[in-house]
Amino acid sequence: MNMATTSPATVDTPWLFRKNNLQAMSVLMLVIAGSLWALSMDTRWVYLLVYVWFGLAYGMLLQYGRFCMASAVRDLFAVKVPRMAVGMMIAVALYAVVAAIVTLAGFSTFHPNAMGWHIIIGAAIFGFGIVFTGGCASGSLYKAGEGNMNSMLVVVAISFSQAIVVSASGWWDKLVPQSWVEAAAAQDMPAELTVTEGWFDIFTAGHIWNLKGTTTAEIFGMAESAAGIVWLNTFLTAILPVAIILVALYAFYYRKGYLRRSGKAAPTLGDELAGMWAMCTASKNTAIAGIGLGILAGLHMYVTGVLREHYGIFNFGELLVAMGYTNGLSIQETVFDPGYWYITTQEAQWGGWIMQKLGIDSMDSIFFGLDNGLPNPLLNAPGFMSIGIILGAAVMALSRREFKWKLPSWETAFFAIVGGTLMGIGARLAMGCNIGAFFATVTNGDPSGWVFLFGMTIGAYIGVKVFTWWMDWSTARKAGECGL
Amino acid sequence: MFSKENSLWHAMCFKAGNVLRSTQMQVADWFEHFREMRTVPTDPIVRDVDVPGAGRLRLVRSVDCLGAMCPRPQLLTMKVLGEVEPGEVIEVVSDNPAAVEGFPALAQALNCTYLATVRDADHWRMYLRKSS
Repeated sequence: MNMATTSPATVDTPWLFRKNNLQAMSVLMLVIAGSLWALSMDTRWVYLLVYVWFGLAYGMLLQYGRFCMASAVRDLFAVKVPRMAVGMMIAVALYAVVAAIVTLAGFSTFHPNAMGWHIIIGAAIFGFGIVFTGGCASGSLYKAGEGNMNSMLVVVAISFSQAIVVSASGWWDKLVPQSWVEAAAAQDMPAELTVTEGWFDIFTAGHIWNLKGTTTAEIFGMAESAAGIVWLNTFLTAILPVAIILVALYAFYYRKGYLRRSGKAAPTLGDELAGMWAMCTASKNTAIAGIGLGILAGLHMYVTGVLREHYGIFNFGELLVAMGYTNGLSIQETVFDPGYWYITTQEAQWGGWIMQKLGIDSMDSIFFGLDNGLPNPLLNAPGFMSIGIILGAAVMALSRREFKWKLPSWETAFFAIVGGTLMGIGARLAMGCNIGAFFATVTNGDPSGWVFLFGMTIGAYIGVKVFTWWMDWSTARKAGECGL
Repeated sequence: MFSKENSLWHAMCFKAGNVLRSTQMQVADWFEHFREMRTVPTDPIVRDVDVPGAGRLRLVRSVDCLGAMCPRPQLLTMKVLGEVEPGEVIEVVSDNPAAVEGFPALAQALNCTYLATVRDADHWRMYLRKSS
């Protein structure tokens, strides 16, 4: 990017002693000190610290690339710019390659998502929401790290709306068909979960559990073979769709302008390839961040997988029990512990935990009571990944002098809360956000992620229409008032 | 009988229309009252600025997007570029790093020349020239 940086005040001070760098260093020192403190109490906290440090690295890279996955789908319709869609595809390709290596080495922690209509519907609601919040779930975290309080508000809205969605009962239960209630009742579940009460429980036990979630290799019965993992999961499910999407983005959004600028009337194949390369490298920061995020996301799975093997566990809950923490575990003595990049579930746990402290208990829901638990945020390993993203983004933003406290206006605050709530509802229906339900799935051979992307694209398209209408309407109204 | 029904129908529609309009106004007033962001930041101006790397530029519009979340800066820029003449230069002021990053690509898509980005203490100024 062509940045003409002119700031004479900072030239004289040595790099390390500039105010912003000192602040960045102190945030980093805080994380290091906290890590050492945790390790000095019990070395087993290293399992949680892996989440912290990977989160920190994700945050730094997201901020460095100004990575905005919301704009990946939104900008295609809003302004016809493919920059972030390209960055996201680069990250998917890299993650898929590293994930293949990790799976072949036997350290994959991945679980496929159930395939069904709920993904499209949830993803569309999620995609509609991100247009109004100005960022996806991860995007809001890292923008909060840049000092944007509007994004912090989005995170709060996502947390509480999810917690309410998964535990609400009463009139909500009328939203689900009776056949699901019967199917849920037929599941052999402990009575304390009350699976036939609470619409999300009925939806989960009566619908989701009867759907299949598989990887492409499993569909063809080749899940155990290297050829299945490499060709079906990685190549067919990730690399090939990425290549097709990149070619489509080039053809529809970039080609015409590129050929006009380079003055080529009769382009050869070489020119077209050069054009595609130019599209991918148009924003160097974004491309670098895409590569880094892809590789790190794969490595994250590997490191967690190795640690699980080392401690002989399947879930962080077992480690918590061994360390003497039994509060907030699910009835299976587990907690949410995906082992890879994930955003929304831990935010739901924050919301649920606070609601529990306020006297609204939701441990009778499947989501918290059976699957994810409601651990204290101080023991919530993936939760620390989210905090890591905020802190990592703060470190990077401070060192690049891009940190700025930004308070929301009433309008953006309204959009943040409404949009964040919609994102929370959508993420729960679709069983994840654009990270958990798209980025982590397609790269591990689960085709349901492409369905999510499709749904999110529809939602973003409608969202852009509504947002544009709102802007035009409010501008026209204002202009009318001024007598223009 | 028929006309009676008809007039009832008219009355209902009239009432519904009134309710709808007044709600709309109330919502709009609510935003208006609390608004800190300028929705029409684009009154015509004429100002000369020295931009490092691009020389002296004559601006016709300055789009103030301070505090705005995406996609507002992009959409406002699109709108303003639609109103100026080819060859004229506009300035976009933003403190949203993600929006700033996307502006060179945005300029290409909007058929204008991206001239420069100047960094100030806590925001960026970007200069775009509309192509003919």
